Amino acid sequence: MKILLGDNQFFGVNHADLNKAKETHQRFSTTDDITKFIQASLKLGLDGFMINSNDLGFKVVKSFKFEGDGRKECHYSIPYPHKYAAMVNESGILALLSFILKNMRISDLLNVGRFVWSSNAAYLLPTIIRLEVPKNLPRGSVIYLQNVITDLIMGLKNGPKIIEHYIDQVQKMGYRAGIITLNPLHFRRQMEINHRHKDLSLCFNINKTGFNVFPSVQEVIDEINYLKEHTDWQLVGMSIFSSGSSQITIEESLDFIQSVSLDYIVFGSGKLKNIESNIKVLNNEKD
Amino acid sequence: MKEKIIVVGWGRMGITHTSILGGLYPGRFEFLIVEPDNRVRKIVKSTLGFACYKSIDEVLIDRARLIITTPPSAHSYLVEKAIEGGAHSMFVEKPFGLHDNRVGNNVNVYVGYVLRFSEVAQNLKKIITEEGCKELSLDYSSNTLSKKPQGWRNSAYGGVLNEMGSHLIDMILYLLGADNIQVKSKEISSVISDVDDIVSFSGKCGTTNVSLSLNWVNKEYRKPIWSGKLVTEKREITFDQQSLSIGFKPINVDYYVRGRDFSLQMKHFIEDNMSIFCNSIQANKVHDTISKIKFEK
Repeated sequence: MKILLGDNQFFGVNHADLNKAKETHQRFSTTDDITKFIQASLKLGLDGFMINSNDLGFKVVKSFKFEGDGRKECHYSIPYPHKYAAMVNESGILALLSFILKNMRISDLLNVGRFVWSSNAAYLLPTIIRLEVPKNLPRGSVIYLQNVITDLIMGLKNGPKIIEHYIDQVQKMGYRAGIITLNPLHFRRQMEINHRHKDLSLCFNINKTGFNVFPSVQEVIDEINYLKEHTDWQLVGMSIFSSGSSQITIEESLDFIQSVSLDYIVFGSGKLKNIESNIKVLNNEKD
Repeated sequence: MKEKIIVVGWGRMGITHTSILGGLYPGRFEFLIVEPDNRVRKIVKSTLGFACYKSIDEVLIDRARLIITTPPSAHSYLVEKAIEGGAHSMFVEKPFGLHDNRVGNNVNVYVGYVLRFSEVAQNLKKIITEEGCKELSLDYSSNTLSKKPQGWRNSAYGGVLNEMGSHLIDMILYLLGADNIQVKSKEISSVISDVDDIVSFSGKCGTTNVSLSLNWVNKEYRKPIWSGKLVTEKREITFDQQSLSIGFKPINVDYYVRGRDFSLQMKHFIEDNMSIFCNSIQANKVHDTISKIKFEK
């Protein structure tokens, strides 16, 4: 099981404690603060890091010095939903379209032409992905679709087709496709007919207390076992510490997560000491 | 035959509710989308495959459920059309109509004051029922506006008080089982929009001291956060949208988009369960309070 550094601490996200989120966020106010912390974490033995394409995250990846051997992985999630939500709030749903068209390049012309001809917004996906991904993100990195977008799309008619199109486009660009969802069972059931995307990373919440685990811990564990048996998808567990809930110790959380058949786990922390001690616990268990 | 759901207005909330219903009840419903904008209709039809209509007059309403997520100026007309057409029930997003063009009262109208469905609100309601309430204060902070909004959002029908304050005013009335707030002091200022961006007031709701502060141009916040303090006869409890200082065990929902409260809201709507929902009478009481704050000297 590989271990990734999460990014919630950088961007003021704590799903259990909003004040703690605000405090941590203040410590990581520049790209330099974040970059140094990621590099120090990787030196401690983490296998890579996951980061979102918000303004700061984009800049961090854009200026990050990736080593050529690819041993340290970058798992990049797109888009930054709040940016688009604000756009819709301020100027309506067509503001999204206007934003995409304003930022198109000559290389996007064919797809934009297809969109204009057919009105099928799926043709705009390559442009949207390009806008969110810095050029220097190493090929082979995973590009995830954020859960807010995945789950919104998957509840709609044709949702699975759009997700398949996303997976194809990411792979065509030379990256690995990833999906973040808070509804892994629903996702798999809706995508059931199509298991050809063998190189897909599926990221979802899993923790012992059931914090933001949908529909339930047991059902997600059963689903992990099903996916391991029936697909070649890489399974990525997030929110493994129940977002810092006081109901459970770190040790109990780590014990639990090691009993689950995941390929990756991702956790956030603003303290190198905590990252080091988590790595030790996880590695000792592996030995 | 699939049950029919007519979604009127394909904006952010129309998409959200449709997705939640599609996720909660895969394959159960046929969705018909009513959207006046021709470009949006074409994109929705071609990309998502939904049947789209320009006007409510083009669809057969009989026994359908309606989800109305248009700007509030259209609510009154649409609800009347839905009732005339024999709708099974109507869910109307907040703000519910306009303060000067109210939507009529009807038992089959469910209003989208979703915060009632949050587990925090449900726990607070239980505590207040058991222990009473001496004081209730609520705060909403976000960095929602970065530039001046357009259309109705930048009019007397928009502003933080209508758009977000209405949620919290409804929550005060719901938690305290009251139907009005006596406003004793208030402050209103505009920063980015031409209407209210920062609002605060204090007053009495029955015998309870209540206060509310709203700020949707606070750059310190990445995501919208509502929080507050409850003082009962026995203790003081602080809370925010996802936690209570005394803790609680979260419940699970079958399909999650944007929050458990949104899923629970749609589930109650489909199950015709009005136990938590804000009805049209209560929603119009929210307008009364907003009007007092906004327009009374």
